[in-house]
Amino acid sequence: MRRVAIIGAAQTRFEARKASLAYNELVYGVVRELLDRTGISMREIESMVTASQDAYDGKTISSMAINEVVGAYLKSEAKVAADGLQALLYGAARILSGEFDLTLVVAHCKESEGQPSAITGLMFDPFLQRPLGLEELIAAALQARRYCRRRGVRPEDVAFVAAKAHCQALKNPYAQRAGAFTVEDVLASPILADPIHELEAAPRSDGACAVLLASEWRACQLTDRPVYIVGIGNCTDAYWTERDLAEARALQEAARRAYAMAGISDPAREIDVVELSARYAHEELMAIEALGLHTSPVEFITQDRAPFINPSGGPLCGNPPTVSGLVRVVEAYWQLRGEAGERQVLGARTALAHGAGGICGQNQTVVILRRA
Amino acid sequence: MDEWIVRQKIRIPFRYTAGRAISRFLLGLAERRIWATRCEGCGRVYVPPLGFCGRCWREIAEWLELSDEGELVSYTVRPAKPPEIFGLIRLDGADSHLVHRLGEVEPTELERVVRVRAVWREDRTGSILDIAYFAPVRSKSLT
Repeated sequence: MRRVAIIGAAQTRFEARKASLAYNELVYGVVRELLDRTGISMREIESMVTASQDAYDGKTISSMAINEVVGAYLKSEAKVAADGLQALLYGAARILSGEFDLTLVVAHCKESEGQPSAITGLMFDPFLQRPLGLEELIAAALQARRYCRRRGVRPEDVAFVAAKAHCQALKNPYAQRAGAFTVEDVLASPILADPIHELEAAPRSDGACAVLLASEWRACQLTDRPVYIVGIGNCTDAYWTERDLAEARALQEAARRAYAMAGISDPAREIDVVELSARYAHEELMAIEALGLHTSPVEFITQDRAPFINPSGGPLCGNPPTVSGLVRVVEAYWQLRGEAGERQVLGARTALAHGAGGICGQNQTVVILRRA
Repeated sequence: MDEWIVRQKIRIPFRYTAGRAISRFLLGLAERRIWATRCEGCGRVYVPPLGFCGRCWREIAEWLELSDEGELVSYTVRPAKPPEIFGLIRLDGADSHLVHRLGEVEPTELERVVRVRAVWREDRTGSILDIAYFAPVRSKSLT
């Protein structure tokens, strides 16, 4: 089978508000950086897949604003109005089709422009849920309590996840929020929606990232250190009120498919770095279990066992929506190339990137990457 | 660097079609009734009702009425004055959840609440807000 390689990646620093940059300028900056890093010219890139959301951009067909800065003039561009990791999936499919050898995948979001709670509120059912004043945070809090009760997870355990993430982010120059926080600091941060504290929820972020995909033969021409996509799994669950929120069946299934494709039978041993799209701290515990890394996620994180979870700090330290899943690939790519600076996991050979979308993670994507 | 910001509001008038299943549910609420559907494939009882079971990929034709009482599966409190309390409720006999506001309860008491019942508004219009909120069922007789 043909293989898809990643031959370049870039991301902007995540910030609460990038007030001086319009969407197109933000995106141009990250694409420019990717090309500068790889030495590949825009002329060579044949197709683009972008990820953005109309509601966040305040504009119908949000990709119209960035078509030209991603280099799509008189080329083929398609937009995914979902998590950026799904854009990667479609970009990979374009390469596998044989039609294109170089495809650029770009995600952007400036959460600071529209009112976030109003935008996430629009996700909910207009008849039965929106009149109650729901926003994403409320659904996440209902899930957090359900999961923690069911699995006997204590508030300190969830707070530990958040404290760990912010400590790790101290080594990530792109992070928006970092600090040597303790469990006590996390539990002392304001409650957003009980049991979720401010430091246990991803902050509102502006940012963008880009990944360059190549067919195997083209990758070998352009770089001597390609990273290959060796497994992809995507799975959709029932609507959030029609399933048990303590379970993550879609993620289990997405992981099963990705592992099967990558030939992974013991993920905890075979994967070196895991980048999770856990936008709320409890989601990291749910994911560790669903990905089959450990049956007791609390034990797993407190024992500091391999593989390394979110050396970047993860979404808790900066999380532009839709960029979330794709930036996990950027981070994994750098880890596998040995270019992750101070946060480098030594000898990383195989990485897992996770993306989630929908209310309480209705849609899940798992991608396995391996260096050549 | 100049930071010129243009402020606008997006307002889009919308006429959402409730469809067959949700229309029946909302009209039922006006009569203080809670309508559910049952999938003949998997036996799941859905409330709010679904006209289609995604798990079995088949239409659902069977309707049944449920009581307005059930189990509080989860809750959250959003700090505000007064605090806003949301609950995830599984009505008796249902396999899916209804989200709603909780009332007649202090946030500190919530951890002990197991069962809740709907508190209906007097002026009902065929809206989810015909249920004002769900309140704890305080005493449970075993007769």
